[in-house]
Amino acid sequence: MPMCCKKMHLGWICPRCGQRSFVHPHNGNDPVPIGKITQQVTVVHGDVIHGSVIQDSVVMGGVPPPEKGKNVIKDSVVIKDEIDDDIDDL
Amino acid sequence: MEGSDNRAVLSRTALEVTDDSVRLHEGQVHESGILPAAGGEQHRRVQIDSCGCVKGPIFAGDVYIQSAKESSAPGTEIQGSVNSLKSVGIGHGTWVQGGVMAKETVRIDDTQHGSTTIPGHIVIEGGITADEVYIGDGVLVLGPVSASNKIVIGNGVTIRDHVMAPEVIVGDGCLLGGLIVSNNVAVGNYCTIASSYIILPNERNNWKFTGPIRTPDLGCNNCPQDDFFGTGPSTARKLACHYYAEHNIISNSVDVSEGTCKDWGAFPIEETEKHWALPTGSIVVSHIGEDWVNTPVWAGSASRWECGGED
Repeated sequence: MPMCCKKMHLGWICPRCGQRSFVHPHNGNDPVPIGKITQQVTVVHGDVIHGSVIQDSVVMGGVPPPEKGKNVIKDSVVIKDEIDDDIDDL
Repeated sequence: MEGSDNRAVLSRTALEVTDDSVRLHEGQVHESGILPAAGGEQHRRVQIDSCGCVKGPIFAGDVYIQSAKESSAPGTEIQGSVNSLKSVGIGHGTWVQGGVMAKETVRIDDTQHGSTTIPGHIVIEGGITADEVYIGDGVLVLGPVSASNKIVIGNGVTIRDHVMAPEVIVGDGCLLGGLIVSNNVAVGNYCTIASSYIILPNERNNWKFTGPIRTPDLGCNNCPQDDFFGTGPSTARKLACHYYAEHNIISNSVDVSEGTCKDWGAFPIEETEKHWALPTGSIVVSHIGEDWVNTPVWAGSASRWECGGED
C-alpha cells in the first residue's frame, strides 16, 4: 500500500495530506505521481480522404487550448481516388 | 569454460535469450519490449529479474516478474502491457505502466513494507484480465479487473475501476470502483465501493458479507470532515478515507481496523425491498431505487464518486 504521513493508505492520494502517491522511475530521479488521469487529445490535421476533407477533427478527448492550436503544422495527407478509366467501355 | 564461467558471462548480458526463454537480468534496462519476432516465440517463458526495466510491452507464454531484492534501484518497471498465453506472476517492487492479460492465471504478490531498501510497491496502471486473478495485500490497480472464472483480492487493495467475475472474494479494507458478480461473492470488513450500485448473484445464499460495505454516494455527500479534506482532490481523499478505516501492518499482513467516523453510509444489502433485478436475474443493490424519478440528477451526483475522484 502507498505510505505517506508515516501511515499506510488506500487509493492514489494520501487522505491525510492530499499528496499524490508516487513511484520512482528508472529514467531520472524525480518521483512520478500515480493515478493522474492525463487527457489524451488526438488531432487529425486536415486529412483528405476520398475527396472528403476532415479539418483538424478532435477525435478523442477535449479540445486543445487555442494557443497550442496556433502552432500546429497543417499537415495534409492526400489519398487519391482510383479512377476507373474503363468505365466508358461498359 | 566451466559452468560457473558460463553463468558469469550470462550474468553480464542484460538479456539472456534461448529457444524457449528470455531473461532480463537483475537491475538491467532493455531498450524495447519483449515480443515474439518469429513463429513459436510467443510460447517462450519471460523472466524479469529484480529491479529491471523493460521499455515496452511483454508478450510470451509465461511471464514471471521477480520480487525486488535489496537494491538502490527503484524497483522493476515495465513500460507497457504484460500479455501471456498462459500465466503471469508479479512480485513486489513492480510498476506496470500498461495492463496485464493472461489466458490462464494472473497472480500478484503482496506488497512489502518491512524494509526501506527493498522496493515493496505493486502498481498496475491498466486493467487485469485472466481466467483467474489473485491479487495480494496492498496492491494498487488503476484499471478494471475482470476474470472469466474467479478473482481473489487480499487486504488493503485499491482497484480504481470495476471488478467483475462469476466468483469474487474480497479481503478487508479494500477500495473498489465497482463490483459485478454473477455466481458467488464474499467481501470482508471495512471495504468501500465507489459506484452507486453493486450487482450481485440472483441466489442470495451465495452472498457472504462479513460487514457492511461503505458507499460514498449519498452517505458521504455531507461529510462531517469537509473542513479537513478541503477542496482540490477531496473526492479521492474521501474514497480512501482514514476516518472510515485504518490500515496497519501486523505480522507481515495488512490489518484493517475501524476508524473514528460513524457517519458513513452502507449499501442496503439486507434491505431486500430496495433491491431490483436485471433481466439476467442478477440483483442490483443501490440506494437509487428502480422507480425513482429524476435519475439523471442521481446519476450526476453518483458520478462524482464513480469517476474516481479526479476533480
